[in-house]
Parts: sequence; C-alpha cells; structure tokens
Amino acid sequence: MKTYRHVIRLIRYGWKAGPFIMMMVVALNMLLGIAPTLELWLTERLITEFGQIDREKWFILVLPWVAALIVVKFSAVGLEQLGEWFQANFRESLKLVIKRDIFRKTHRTSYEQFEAPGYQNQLSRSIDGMEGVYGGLIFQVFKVIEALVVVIGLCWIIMKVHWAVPLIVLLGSLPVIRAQTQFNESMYATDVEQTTDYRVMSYVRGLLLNKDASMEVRIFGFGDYLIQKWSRLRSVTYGNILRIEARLGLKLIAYKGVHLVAFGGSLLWLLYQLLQGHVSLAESIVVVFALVQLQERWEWCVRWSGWIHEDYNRLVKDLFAFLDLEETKGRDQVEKQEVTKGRDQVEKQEVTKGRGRDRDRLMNGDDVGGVRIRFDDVSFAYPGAERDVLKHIQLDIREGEKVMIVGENGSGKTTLIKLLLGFYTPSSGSITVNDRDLREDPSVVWRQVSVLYQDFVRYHLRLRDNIGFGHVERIDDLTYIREGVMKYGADQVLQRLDRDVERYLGPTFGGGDLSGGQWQKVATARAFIRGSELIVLDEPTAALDPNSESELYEQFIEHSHGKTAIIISHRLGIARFADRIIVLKDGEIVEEGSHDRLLRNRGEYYEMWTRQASLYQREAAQGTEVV
Amino acid sequence: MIWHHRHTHIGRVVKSYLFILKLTYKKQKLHTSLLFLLTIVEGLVPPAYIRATGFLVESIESYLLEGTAKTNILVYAILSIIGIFLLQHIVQFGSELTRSYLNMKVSAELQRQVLNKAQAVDLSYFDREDSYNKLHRANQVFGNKIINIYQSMFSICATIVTVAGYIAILLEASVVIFLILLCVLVPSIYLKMRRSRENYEVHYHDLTPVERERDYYERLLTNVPVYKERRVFRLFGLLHDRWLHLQQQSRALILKNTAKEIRTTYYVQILNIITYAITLIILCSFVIMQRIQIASFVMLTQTITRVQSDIEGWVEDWRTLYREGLYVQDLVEFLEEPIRERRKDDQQPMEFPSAIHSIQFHDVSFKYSDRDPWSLANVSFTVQEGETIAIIGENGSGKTTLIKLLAGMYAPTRGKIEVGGIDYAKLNMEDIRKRVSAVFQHHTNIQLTVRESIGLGDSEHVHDMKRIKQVVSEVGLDSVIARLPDQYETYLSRDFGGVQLSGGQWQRLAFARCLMKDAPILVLDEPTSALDPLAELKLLSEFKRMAGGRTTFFVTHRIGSAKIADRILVMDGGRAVEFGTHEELMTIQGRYHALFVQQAKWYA
Repeated sequence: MKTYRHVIRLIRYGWKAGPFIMMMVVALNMLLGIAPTLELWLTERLITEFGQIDREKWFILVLPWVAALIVVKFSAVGLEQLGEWFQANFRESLKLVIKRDIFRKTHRTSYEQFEAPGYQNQLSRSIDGMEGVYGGLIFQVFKVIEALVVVIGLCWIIMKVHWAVPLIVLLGSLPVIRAQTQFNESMYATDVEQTTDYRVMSYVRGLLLNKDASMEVRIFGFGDYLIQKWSRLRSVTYGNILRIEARLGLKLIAYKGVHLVAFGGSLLWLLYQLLQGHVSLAESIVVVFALVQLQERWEWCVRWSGWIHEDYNRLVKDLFAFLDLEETKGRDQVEKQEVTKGRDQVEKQEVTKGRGRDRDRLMNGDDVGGVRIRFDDVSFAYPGAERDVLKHIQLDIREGEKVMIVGENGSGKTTLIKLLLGFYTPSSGSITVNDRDLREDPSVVWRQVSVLYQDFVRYHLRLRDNIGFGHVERIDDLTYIREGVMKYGADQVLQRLDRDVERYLGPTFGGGDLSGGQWQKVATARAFIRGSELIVLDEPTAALDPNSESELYEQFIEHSHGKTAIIISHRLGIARFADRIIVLKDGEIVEEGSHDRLLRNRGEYYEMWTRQASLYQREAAQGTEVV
Repeated sequence: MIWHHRHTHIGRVVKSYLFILKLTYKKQKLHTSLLFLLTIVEGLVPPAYIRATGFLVESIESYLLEGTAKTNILVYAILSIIGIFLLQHIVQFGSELTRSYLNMKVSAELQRQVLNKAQAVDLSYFDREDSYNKLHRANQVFGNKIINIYQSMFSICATIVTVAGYIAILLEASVVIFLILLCVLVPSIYLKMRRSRENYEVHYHDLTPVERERDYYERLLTNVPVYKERRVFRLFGLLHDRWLHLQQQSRALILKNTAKEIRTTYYVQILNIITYAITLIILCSFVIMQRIQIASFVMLTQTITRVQSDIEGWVEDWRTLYREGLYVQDLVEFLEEPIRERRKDDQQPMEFPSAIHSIQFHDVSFKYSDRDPWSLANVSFTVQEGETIAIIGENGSGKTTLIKLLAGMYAPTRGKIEVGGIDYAKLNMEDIRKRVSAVFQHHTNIQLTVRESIGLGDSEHVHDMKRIKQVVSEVGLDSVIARLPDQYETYLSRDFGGVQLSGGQWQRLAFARCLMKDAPILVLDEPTSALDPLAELKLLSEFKRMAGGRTTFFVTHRIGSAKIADRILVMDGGRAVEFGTHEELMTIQGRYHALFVQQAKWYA
C-alpha cells in the first residue's frame, strides 16, 4: 500500500517536472518497444518469400520487405534519439523540481529540527541520493517500460504456436524476482545498520584531508592511528556487505536454475510443436528466435526491476521520509513572503521608501526605538535530554535597553539567545516580542533583529554578497554596500580587494583567504548594515586583537544607540556600558542589575570582574599616571 | 600548439590508468586474473548464444525441408543453449562477486594511499590553490568513481571479446559483410570520439564552473550556521533564487550539449542503417543462391544488428574513461607528489639536541608563497630554556606564522632558527615536530571518543587512562567528563550518538591534548579565547605549573594575560618590535604600553 503511494507520488513529481515531456518519454519508449516485434514479423514475411519465388525476379519480390525493415530501423533510430533528448530534458527538470522541494522543506523546519544530526543526515542522503534517482532510477523505469512492450510483442508472436510456451518462461522467473527483493531488502537493512560506522569513517577521513587539522596531524602524529581506525571500520563494513552479496547471490543462482528449467522446458515444448509440421518453416525459425529473445529480454526486465527496487529503497524512501518530516506551524506565511515571484517589485518599493528613512534613523538615532522582549517563566531542555539547560527564566527587556549576559561556559547563554531568536521553542513558559508570542510567529523577531553569531558564516562569495546578505533588499545597491563597509569597520578588507566589492572572498572561487579577524569584521558589517531595532552579539570579540575589540565595542555603543541590544561576552570590559547585566549560572539567572550595583553586591559578577580586571588595574593606573 | 598540449594530456591520462591497473594487479594477482578470465567468458556468451540458436534453427530447417529427424543434433543444440545460459549465470555471479571484492580491496588501497599521502606532503601543499583542488578531486576516490572506472574498463574488454565472437560468425558466412561493416566502423568511431572531446571541453570549461557555484549554494542552503543567518537576514529567497538560476543555467548547458550529442549519434546511426541495408540485400542474394540457409539468414541479420549496437556501447565506455581521465590523472599525480626532502643538501640530518639551552631566531623572514607578501620580516630574538614567552600584536602581525615556524610546520624563507645551537634546517622536520606540542588557533575538534580526542596527543598512549585522567584534571575537565553518558568512551558528536561540547570545553580539551604529549617546547595560539573569565584566570594561574619547566610560547589577545609570561614579544607588521618583561615594556611606553592601556581602559 505504502509502496503504491510512493510510486504514485513519484509519478506526480514527473508530472510536475513537465506533463508533456513525461508523456513523450513514456510514449516514445513504448513505440520503441514495438520495433523488435515488427522486425521479427517482417523477417518472417521476408523469408516466407524465399520459399516461393523464382530466382529471376527475387530482387523485386524481396525488395518491399527489405525496404520495410529499413524503414522500421530508421524510425526506431529517430524515435530513440528523440527519446534521448526528452529523457535528458525530463531528468534535468525533475532534478530541479525535487531539489527545489528539498530546499523549501529545509526552510519550513524549525532550527531545533534542522540542527539535529538525524535531520542533517536525512537531508544529505536525500540530496546525494537524488543523483541516483535521475541518473539510474528514471532511466531504468523507462527501459523497463520499453522492455515490457517488447516482451508483450514477442509473446504474441510465440503464442501463435502455443499459448503456454511464453507463459512458462514468464512464470519461471517468479522465484528469482522474490529472491531479488529479499536480497535488496537485506542490503538496505545492513546499510542502515552501519550508518554510524559510515559516518565515523567519513569523519575520520575528512579530518585527515582537512587543511585546518593538517597541522595538528603533523605535530601530534596521530595520522597513522586514524588511518588504522578508518581501515578497520572500512574492512568490517565492506566485509559485511560482501558476505551478504555472496550468500544471497548463491541463493539467487539456485532460483535462476528454476528459471532455466522453465526456459528449457518451454523450448522443448516449442520444438515438439514445430516438429509436428503444423507451422510453416519461416514461422518456425522466427518463433525460435523470438523465444530466445524473450528469455533474454525478460531476464533484463527482472534484473532491471531488481535495480529499480534497490534504488527505490535507497533513494525514494529517504527522500519521501525527508519530505514528509513534520513542519513547524506558522512558517508558511514567512515562506510565501520570501519566495513569491512578485518579490522584486516589493523589493524595489522597499528600497526607494527605505533609503531616506534608513539614513535618518542612522544619522540622528535619537528616538528611542527598539523592541520589548519578555521571557515569562521559560524553561528549556534539549529534546531527549533530562536536564533543563535553562530554568524558570523571568526577563523583561525594555525598548532601547542594553543588556549584557555573562556567565561561565555552558551556563546557557547561547541557548537563551536561540530561544529569543525563535530557533528553539521553550519547554515551558512563553517568550513575547512586542507582545507577540514567538511560538505563533517567530518571524516577528527575525524582521527586527541583527545578529552577529559566534559561529558566523564565512561566505566564499563576493564581498558585496557577504555584506549585502545583511540587507538583501538592497544587495544590488553598490554605493550603499560600500558605505556600509566603510561605516562598520570592514574598510581594511575592502582595501585588500583593491576597493572592489565584486571580488570574491575565500579560496572556493579563487578569492584570497582572510584572517579570522578580517572575517569577523565582515560579519560585523553584515550584522550592522540593516540598522535593525534589536541587536544581538554572541561573543563577538573572541578572535579580535585589542585594537579591533575596542573598535567593535565603540561601534556597538555608537550604532546601538536607541535600540534594544543584547550582548554575550566573556570579556567584561564592555559591561559597564550595559544598562543591565544578567548573570547566568547553570541555567538560572543568579544576579541582575547595573554594573555598579552588581559590584556592590559582591556576588558572582563581582568575582568575575575583579579577577579579570586584576590583570589590568594596577598597571593601568600606573600607565595613566605616566601619561 | 594545442595539439601538442592535448597529446601530452592524453599521454598522462593513459599513464594514470596504467598506474591504477598495475596497482590492482600487484595487490590482487589472483583476483585480477580471475576477473579477467571471467570477463572474457562473459564476453563470449552472447555470440555463443546466438550461434547455438542458429544451430538449432538450421537443424529445424533441415528437418522440415528434408524430413529426416536428426534428433541428437536437436538435443545437442537445445542443451548447448541451456548450458550457455547456465554458464552465463554462474560467470555473472562470479564476476560480480570478484568485482565487489576487488573494489573493496583496491579502492581501499587507493584510499589508504591518498590518506597516507595527505599526511606526508609538505604542509604548504594545503595552502596552494591548484594543489588544494587536486586534493579535492583526489578525495573523490572515496565515492563511486573508482568503481565506475573499473566497470568501464572491464566492459571494454568484454565487448571486444563479444564483437570478435560476432565477427567470427559473420566470417563463417562471408568476408564481404565483415569488410563492409569494417568500412563504416572507422568513420563512426571517429565521429563519436571527436564529439566526446568537444563534450569534454564543454563540461570542463562551461559546465563545471556553473555546477561548482551551484553546489556551493546547495551547501549554503543545507548548512546549520547558515540557517541561523538566513532566518534573521531573511536570505532564503535570495539564496534559493540564485541556486535556481544556476541550476537552470546548468540545465540549459546540459540540454544544449545533449542536442549536439544526439545529432552526432544520428549521423552515426544513419551510417549504420546504410550498412545494414547493404548487408541485408547481400544476405538475401546469398539465400537465393543457396549459399546460406534461411535460418542462417535470420541469425546473420541479428548478428549484424548486435555488432552495431555493441560497438555503440563500446565507444560509450571509452568515453567514460576519457571523461574520468582528468580525475584519475589528478589522483595519480597526487599519489606521486614528491615528499619534499627535509634539507636541500644531502647531509645526514642531525640529532635533535638533548638539552635546548636556548632558542634563537636570526633574521627570520617568511612568506607563504612567492606571490604573497612577507608574513615575517627579519625577526630576531633569543629565548632561554624554560622561559614562558607571550606573543602579542594585532591581527595579521605575524604571531601565528611565528608559532608555525617554531613548531616546525614551515621552514623560514630566509634567516635561521637555532635550538641548542643547531640550525632547524639541519634537523629532520619530523624530529622538530616530535619535540613540540601545540594548541593551534583553529584547534581541531576531534569528534571521536573523549579518550581518543585527548589521547591522540600521544597516539602511543591513547589507551593509557592514567595519563589521560591526569591531564584532564589539570585542565579542569574531570567534572564535565564525569557527567557524560559513557564517560571517556563518549563520542563527542551527536552524529555518532554522543554529545556536543561547548566552545570553551573544546578549547580545554585541545589544551589537554597538548599536555598529553611529552615535549620540551609548547606553543599555544590563543589557548583561552573561548574560556569564560574565571576559567581563563584559573588556567592561567596554573599554567606555569602545568608547563612544568617547558619552554613555552603563547599568543594572546588579552593583554592582561601576557603578564604571567617571563617575557613578552610584541609583533607588528611581521616584525618583532619589542621584547622584554612586562615592567620593562611598560616603562618604555611603546607598542605594548599602548595596547595595554587600550584594553585596560575598559576595566578602569
């Protein structure tokens, strides 16, 4: 039942790729299937003439049949080439349609789901597997359609002698088909069973070939250990597969024996009929060839359908399982907004309207804008984990407030940010942004936020893209981008690229690689350029030298004026400029208040601050004295 | 000129294939020979089959015309048909199994060689763009590529045997038909081959760049960190549209190419049909002249059709080999990449000194490649054994490069580094690396088990739990590990059914790995950048004890932490501008002072 539904669904995809093309491919393949039967029939007519004609006029008598044979061949070749073209077209269209669905699917899943390793695996399996669908599966399906038509035609020719003869051949292969199915199922099951091993293998191998790891491999010399580990895993997993192949392959041979006996039987039966002399000579010859061809073609059909089944297992199951994954509510609207054809117009409107407004806001920035964020008794645990990462968080961030979140590694700071950004849904409690519940529509916050993540992305694309991605609506406005680059501190990078924002960054497309600090500056400019009402910085200074760190802080203070801002940092230097500091410990808010108040409290924050400041204070005082 | 270029190219491809074949044979003599034998038998099956069928119908014809029953001949014919079928099944099974086995063994061997090579090549290999691409392509050895190549090679052999068999059948009847077929064969193979060269060029020049970019966007659309950005920046529409555009572009190129392809095939097919027509008429005349039986006539026409279609497939297989040629060439070239000799002269490398005494930089300059600017320029300083040295400076000032030279990752372009009075250049690079332990800036998060991730610092002691536990407690990870589901055997990746660590925890793990190795020199590139203030201070305060008298260099951006060092080296624009104790440098009010004040003001 399920299989049947999957097949229907696959056909529907074909329909989506292009109904005309699909019909043409099917029709052409079926027409092609008629050719062998027709050829055999014409051959029979031709050799019948041989028996009756006199030697003088043979040429004229034989000619029409020879001509007909050539015409059939000629049309077959034409149809075949036409079919090739439609098939290529179909394959490419299908690729497009299915991949588009996969990517759209990724857009309708929540972050929580998206980052889960299971999801990532399914995703990559669907995409990798797709190549197989258009490369193998589709091609095989059409070939089988063609071969089936051939088989029907051949049966028709043979049945003129006796109806049972072809039937025996066809029925004789039923055990083979069953054994093949079994074979494929157990191969698939083994593959699934060994998934983790495959993953570890590919990870280990990635480590060995990775540029970043190459230095460590050399200094610690653990390459050999990893290669051994990889070899061991490889020979175990591949060995398992080979064993199944051998065991089930032998079984398959036994069943093929049955098939063979059936074929031998039908051949003898046919022979008996022929030797009776009821059938003409020409027909007899042709029927024997037809039967032998039937056996060959049918073999093919069976083998091919086995491959189809194998690919189907590997690809279609993965693909449809992926496409059927549960989706989060409320995303559809967002998607529609983003992927409609009319987007360009909307964009243009926004660009023209937005330009003036943006400038004003950035220039004076006096009005208190920003967003209000409220955490109401929020707790959160990762799916499957018992321990809450965050416990009963109560938080009210007002418009225009600057909040700094500090705490030890693993205290839940980044998780808090992910909740605020609507990437995670609280296990209990609720989060509202401007009084709208994030659970209903997380895009409320996306529309108003600029984020600089700890693991920001290094797009190996043009500088223009790297910056413009922060404000897609104006990605084509090069002046705006250039201004943004200068304004938000990435001018050093621009200089490196000879002031050309169209140059590529990173080695993938032949750009030069940037240093960690330079990449971070690019990411910072990307985060700031949109001038959002809410700014979130997640440990932005880890890779920066003191100069750039100071610059970033100053920039942050300047550009976040009048906006709501949340910053996570281990370097407490900036904390004094925050309106409020929130100290997280083991998922709970243990302290909250301004820098001065928390210092007076002499609690967790005091401890952190004084320890860190101790590295600077005495000498700093000394330094200023001298100055 | 172009022709010349192409020739060398093809020559290299052929050499690369020979390399792989030789390797296969050398590693698996028995199985390769067996497979070769099976392939030949497999190739013989179709002509044998059609000959046996012809034999059968010829006997039927004689019987029907002459009325004499040669029953035993009929039985032989039927038995041989069935026998050939049985043989085919068995040979097929055998060759499939042998092929799988060979794939398993030989691919594994090639893969292992690639991995070994990646360890052995000079580090700069990873920095060069052309070699990076080569490595990337060689990496495809892990997919189905090798299997497909083998498949094509064997199929070419089998087809040769098959066609030879068919030709034998044709020759038995008439030489003329064979000659006619031969006449057409040559131009059609030429046409096909020429087309495949054009095809290859389209792929290489037009399609590959488009597909590479498309693949990059596909990665962006499926990557986790990108997901977070694309949500808040609302990038999906843009990324999706760009991907779609590239996909459509590649589709158009492929279709255009297919259309050309089809045109060529069509010409070849027309040639084939003409031959078919001529041979058909000749065969008809043979029947009339009673040179052949009617049954043979049918057999021969079928044989001709098959020869033609088999040769089509044969050319196709050659094309596959040609197409994969560049890839195979890259693979083999990667495997044959010379391992750079440690020193330019032929002298025996010297022993690493048993006592370090001092490490000296004499006017050391370095650039990554000729095209790059100098990363280090005339750096000179001397460090005594057991000292702790902090290296500070702005991004891009050469700190990390200095660390890499110290660790023996690269050799200085100019000047020399001396340890215990011996020039680094006189030592074996491996030897230097053995004496240095490190935490690099982009330290690797080894996502294997906790035990391995730490223990790989000294892979001979990867099972030595006592040592591992000791370094773990030194970096303060013991409480974290105690909470893990399988403690030291927990995988550090959710992909492998384990857990995920935070950035700070990873950094401490890298530190533990560094301490695992018993080396007299430690180099640490920003070892505390991801730690929280308390953890950082704790680590720093115990740092000297953990270093245990080893000569230590550490890079830091937190100027405050530099104080714990005995001396501080300040880098600026690839030069060592200041070197001295904290007090000394504060007094001269230079670069260090400026950086210190700048960072301190946040805490004032």
